[in-house]
Amino acid sequence: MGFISLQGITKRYGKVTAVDHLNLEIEKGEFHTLLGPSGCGKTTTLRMIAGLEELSEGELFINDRCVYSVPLAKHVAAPDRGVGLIFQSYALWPHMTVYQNVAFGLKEKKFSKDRIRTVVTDMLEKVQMNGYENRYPSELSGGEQQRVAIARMVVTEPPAFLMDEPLSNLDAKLRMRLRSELKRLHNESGATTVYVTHDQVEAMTLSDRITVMQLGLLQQDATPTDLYNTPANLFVADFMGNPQVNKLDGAIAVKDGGKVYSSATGSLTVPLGDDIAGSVSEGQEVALVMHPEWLKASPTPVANSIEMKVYVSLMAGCETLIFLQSDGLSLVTREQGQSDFQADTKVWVTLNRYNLYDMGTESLVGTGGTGESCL
Amino acid sequence: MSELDSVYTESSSLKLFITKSFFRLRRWLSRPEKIMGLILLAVLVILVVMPLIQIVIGASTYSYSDVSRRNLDAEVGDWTIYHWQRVVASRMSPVLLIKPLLHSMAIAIGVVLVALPLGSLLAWLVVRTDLPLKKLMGNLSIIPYVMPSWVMALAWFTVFKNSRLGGAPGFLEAMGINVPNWLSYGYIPIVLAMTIHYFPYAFILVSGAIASMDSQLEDTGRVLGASQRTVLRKITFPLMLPALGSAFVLIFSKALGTFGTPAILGLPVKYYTVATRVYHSIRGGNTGSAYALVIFLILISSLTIYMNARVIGVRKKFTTIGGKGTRVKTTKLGRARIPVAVIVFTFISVCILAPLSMLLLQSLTLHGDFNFSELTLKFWIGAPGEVYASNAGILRDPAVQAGMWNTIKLAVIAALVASFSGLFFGYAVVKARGSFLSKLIENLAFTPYIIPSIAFGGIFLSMFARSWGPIPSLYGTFTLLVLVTVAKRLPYTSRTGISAMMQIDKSLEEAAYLRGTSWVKRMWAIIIPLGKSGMMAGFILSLITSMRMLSLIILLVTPKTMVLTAMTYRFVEQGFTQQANAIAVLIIIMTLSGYFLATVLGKSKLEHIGG
Ligand SMILES: Nc1ncnc2c1ncn2[C@@H]1O[C@H](COP(=O)(O)OP(=O)(O)OP(=O)(O)O)[C@@H](O)[C@H]1O
Ligand SMILES: [Mg+2]
Repeated sequence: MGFISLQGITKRYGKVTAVDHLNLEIEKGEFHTLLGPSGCGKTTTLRMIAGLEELSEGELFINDRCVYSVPLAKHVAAPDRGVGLIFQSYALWPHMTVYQNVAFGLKEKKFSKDRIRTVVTDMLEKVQMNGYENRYPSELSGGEQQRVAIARMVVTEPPAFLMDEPLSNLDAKLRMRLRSELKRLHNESGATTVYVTHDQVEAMTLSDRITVMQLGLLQQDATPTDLYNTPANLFVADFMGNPQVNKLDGAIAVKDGGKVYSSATGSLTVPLGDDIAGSVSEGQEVALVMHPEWLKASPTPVANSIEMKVYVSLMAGCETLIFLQSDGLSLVTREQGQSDFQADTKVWVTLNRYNLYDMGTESLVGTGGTGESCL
Repeated sequence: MSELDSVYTESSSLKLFITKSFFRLRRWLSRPEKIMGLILLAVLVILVVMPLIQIVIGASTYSYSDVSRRNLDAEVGDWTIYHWQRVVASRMSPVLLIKPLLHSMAIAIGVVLVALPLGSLLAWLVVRTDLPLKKLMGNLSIIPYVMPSWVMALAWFTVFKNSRLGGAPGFLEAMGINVPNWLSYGYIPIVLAMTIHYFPYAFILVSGAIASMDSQLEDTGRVLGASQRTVLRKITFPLMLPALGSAFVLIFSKALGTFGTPAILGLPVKYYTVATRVYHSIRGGNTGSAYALVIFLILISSLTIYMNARVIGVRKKFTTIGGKGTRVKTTKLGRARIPVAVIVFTFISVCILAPLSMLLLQSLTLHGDFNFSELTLKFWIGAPGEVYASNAGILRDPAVQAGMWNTIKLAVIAALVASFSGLFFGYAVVKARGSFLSKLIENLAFTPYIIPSIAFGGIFLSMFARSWGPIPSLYGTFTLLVLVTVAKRLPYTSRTGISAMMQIDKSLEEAAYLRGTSWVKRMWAIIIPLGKSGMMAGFILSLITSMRMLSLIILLVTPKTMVLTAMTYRFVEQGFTQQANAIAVLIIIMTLSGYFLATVLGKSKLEHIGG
């Protein structure tokens, strides 16, 4: 059993089911992210783990101890669960100074005055907030408030950290910097961390493991690499797009005795490898999904390519997104660095890798391509 | 895990069900806001629900005086339709119900129709034009509402009373001008006196809505080519409709049950409203009929509130105005700017200064006839025996001094209790938002608004006259006055508390809970410090209201618990005009001091003053 174990936990608010029979194992020391769009139940899940929300169903275990179970009539109150929580709004007490905010939890633990002073000072130093002891939260910037919130959580040394979108109120630059600080914090403390975000890049960069949720249901629980390369269903595939994925609807056809993918619009056909071919049948409706970098556009004709036209090309310094069109097909590809593709020029596109999804179940059928063009 | 499996496999489903239900109940009861909600519900049942039930019971049973006076062959408490019959379908019914009800309705409608346009116009001028000294004008216009409403009635008499009744004449009569009866007593004076009190209430309610309305919505209309007038008609007015609607209802139901003004200006000529009829019936021992009348008033109030919610409530949804981009643009008054300012300023000053100075002047003349060759201070500082019978001037009269002390004591204690209970209401309602209990207590706390004060006082009188379960008889005690004041103020205090609690993000308390802080400590270290400013404002508003209320306590005071307002009314009833006026001036000074304190401390929500 994981350090934090969720077994069929469910939360209903009247008719709304915010979290629906969620099963999850979070290993000790892991940085685990709950990822999903707004309203999918991330905060609710976190609050149930913290003990701020009652479960409607299911059992919850922390550190091999059952902390909530209806049939066992078992409930461990939040303060006794050994978890620290950072709220999305930080929840710093506006009428207390930075020092008082951080010291509050220690006073509850009946530490001596001197000990509190040492511990709080050390802690504030660690988050580079020494010198701010006597400021009130309203006199701090967003990033500074964030650090105080971290200090307040960490100072009582809980074995697990829960963080609810701690970076979402910050601007893009600060967010980048604090990401690395959070990662360091995790490395240094070794605390099991459950992190909530709706930003997939943030999730990818920070996590050991990511759980994607949608409408209260678990969609996929995997490592960042697996999640990016082989999303379990169309929702996850779409959600992991950065900024978007290529999704082409189509169906399975038979050509030259082999099964091929054939797009619904345009005339793209992709021969399928043996492993995929075995699990699809002719006429089955499928979708072909590719990250932009799985496509390659060449200004000169190459073998096994399709001819397309540049619609527009967006250069962002380190990379260039090229939007392509041909009759009935639109695709986007990503080039490293600064490519110079003029609008309306002809390009030849090769496809190096793809995922195939069944349109009915929306789940992954298989992965094809090995880096070489597979057209 | 195996423990869990065995629970599922070995237990019977019934046992599992019981375990589960018991567990859920225990969890529910472990939440402080739920416990608080239950306690408040119990308080509401005693202070609001029971009185309502008692009103219905009182109207449908024989009372002690019914049985003893009429030699009925019935026991006290027997069910009867006698009172209903008497009120609705007897020879007496025009006198008891029909006429007073028509009078009350006519007064309420008259007051709303004058006060609402007047208040709205003023609100628009102050909020949305370049009127000079806007802030001052705004603060001044609220003052007539801060003064007790019955003061306007007394002041009316100082000017317009004619010699049809005995006692001191009004100013005009004293100057030799004949004042017609319709200008001295009854409908017109009542409506005008009440309007002066209520137009500021309309001003407060409407200006809030105007201030939060985004003028970009109107600008868009102008940009699209609509004329100013069309924009007003098609955009501004519909957007303001919800606010106007609720202002209408709030003023209407208050005016409907008002007692003081109609009592002073109507009773001398036997012009009855339901409220004054209720007062007389209760004093005359006909509580049954009185309660039947009260039920009619409550029904009418509820009906208007319901209709308002039905007609406008639906629209309210799309008129959630305000938000980030809100911008208030001021209309230029142009050349009218100064004349308008002068008119507004004069009007407001007259509304404030005229009553005050006339009351003061009359209290300084020997016969109350504005004969300035006979000025005297004896009604203020005369020695015992110098003023009528054995009375002293009010400042030296021990009874008045006791009354003043009682007034202050009542105001402070009631305001303290009210503001703390408001905070607890806010906590229980906001933390459990969306739950049935939360909605129930929020709505019950509003209910006293639609029960006329005079009836509220009356029902407390009969409810607490005898001991009642663990509650001892409270008649004649100070506690009873505090209770009735706190109960009647619930609609306001609960709202103040709720809006104060809404400002406090729930995570602030949860963050402390996660660190193992007990509930009491959380309240003490987090909730109360953060809710303090809201509570302080609520405290001062309650203080002002408690000092000036008349109808609520008039039936409950005894010589021992006499407060200034009731004392004034007794003086009025006895025809001691100058003393009544002098005490009224005293009360005005006390309430205005409270108001200035409130504006200095700032942030008070003045619509929560209440009547
Ligand atoms: N107290 C509540 N009462 C009723 N419904 C609620 C309550 N709290 C949450 N919900 C509903 O439960 C669902 C999940 O909410 P939750 O706050 O967990 O979403 P989230 O994934 O954290 O979203 P976000 O990214 O916007 O914070 C939403 O549909 C929400 O409306
Ligand atoms: Mg959330």
